[in-house]
Amino acid sequence: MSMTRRQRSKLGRGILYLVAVAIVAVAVFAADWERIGRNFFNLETARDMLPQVLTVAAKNTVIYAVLSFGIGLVIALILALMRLSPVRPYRAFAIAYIEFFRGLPALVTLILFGFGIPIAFDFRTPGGRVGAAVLGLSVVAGAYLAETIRAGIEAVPRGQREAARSLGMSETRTMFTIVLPQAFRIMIPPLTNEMVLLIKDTSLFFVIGSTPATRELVKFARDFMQGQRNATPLTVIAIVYLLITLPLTYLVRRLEKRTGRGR
Amino acid sequence: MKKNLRLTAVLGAVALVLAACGGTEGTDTTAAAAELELVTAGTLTVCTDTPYFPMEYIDESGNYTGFDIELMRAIADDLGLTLAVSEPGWDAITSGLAFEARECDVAAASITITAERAEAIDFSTPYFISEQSLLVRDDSGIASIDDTAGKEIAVQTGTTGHYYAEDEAPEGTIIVEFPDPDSPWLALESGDVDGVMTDLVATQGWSSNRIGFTIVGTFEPEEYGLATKGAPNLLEAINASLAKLRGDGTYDRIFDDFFSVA
Repeated sequence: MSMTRRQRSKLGRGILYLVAVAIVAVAVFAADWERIGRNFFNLETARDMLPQVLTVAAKNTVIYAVLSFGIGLVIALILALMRLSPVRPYRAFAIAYIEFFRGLPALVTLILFGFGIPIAFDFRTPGGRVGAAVLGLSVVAGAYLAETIRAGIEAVPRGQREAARSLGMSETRTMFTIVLPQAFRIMIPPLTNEMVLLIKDTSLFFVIGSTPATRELVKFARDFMQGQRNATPLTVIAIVYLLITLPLTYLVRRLEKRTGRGR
Repeated sequence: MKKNLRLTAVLGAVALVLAACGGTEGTDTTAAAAELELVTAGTLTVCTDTPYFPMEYIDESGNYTGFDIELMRAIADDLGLTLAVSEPGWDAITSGLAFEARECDVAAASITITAERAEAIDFSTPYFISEQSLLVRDDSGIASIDDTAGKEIAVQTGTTGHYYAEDEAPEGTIIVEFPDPDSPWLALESGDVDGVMTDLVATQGWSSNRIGFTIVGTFEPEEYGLATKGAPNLLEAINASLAKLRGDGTYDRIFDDFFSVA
């Protein structure tokens, strides 16, 4: 029994569909819907979380992420310029920093800033625990963003820089008025991606301590799970996270399409 | 500090006598093991929350130990089961989610029996008595719980220390929450907070070999219970086993291992 190539691929695809349908069917029938509803979609619990889930938790999450991103971007810009510098010790420092903080889990860096450095050096971060957490996450973000910025700078056609230099512009002026503005346009999609990652990484903040006023989404949900004895708070904050991150990822897709067209 | 350990020892001994009076007769519980609906057959899976020295912690060789763990080991032995330990997190234990998720058969984590928790989980007969306590840094300027306004007091989220601080500390006290039992101590050590509110047994365990910290108050005796959920046969077997271990001196021996002042 021989089949044409087309028939074979049709058969293959048909089998894949059947497998997918079977998996979904098993999941639907095996699940205890009453229990899932009680634990994950308890409307009363969801109502109890409003409005604080937005006015406190979501607000804090966004503030922490934006602050970390802003400070991280400054760190990253300095690192990227050092990384591309002709001065060898600058390059070495930038590489060491980037590799160190990219290689560590963000959680470890947060604990380092929250407990390790204060114990070792008797040092208080301005802003207390929130300050320490934001600084820790900024330091991590700086490492990742530095590589993004470097890639962006290197993606600007060499001719741009050469033209600016031949017009008599200094190296610094060329970088800040010619190269970086063009580089940032290229960098917007990866920078937005990093922002999404930072929003999610703020969920680690509670490990170094929180007060009712400084809670972000995950800590807030855990408090409600404790009080309400069901998992609905997780469903609620999942929705809130998606409400924040989905527009950003959508924006990235749009921007990627547009930069793709512009070139 | 040795004196404090002795105090705990006395309290614990009181718990022992109290419970021994109310306990059921020791029975041969091994046969009952067959009817227990366990997460893993033949294994008693115990949930705990470490490090909470000396009640539950991981020793230098990487093994779970502590008073609670060794007590559970003895109970598992008595029931003819192997002991396994799991750590789903404090919230998951006290909310009952760890049991719903079939993560454990029983929780032994210095859980104070409270009416609120009893709505979510089923407690055994009390097996230990502790107290709430407030430990502060000597330079914090706190002489009693009435001085904590404007000061930062660290607690583990959802513990009786957390609730006690919320209810009893004066207005303006900043209660700083941590997700695990150890972080309040780290925050105190790093100078980040002024004091820690938690059970006396743990406060003594932590402060016994440190200077510069003082217990400025002990409050309300609390009874610890082992917890299960939706497993009446297992709970009955555990209660029977507890009574038996108290009767035959096993409880005393474990107690002395962790609290003797010799």
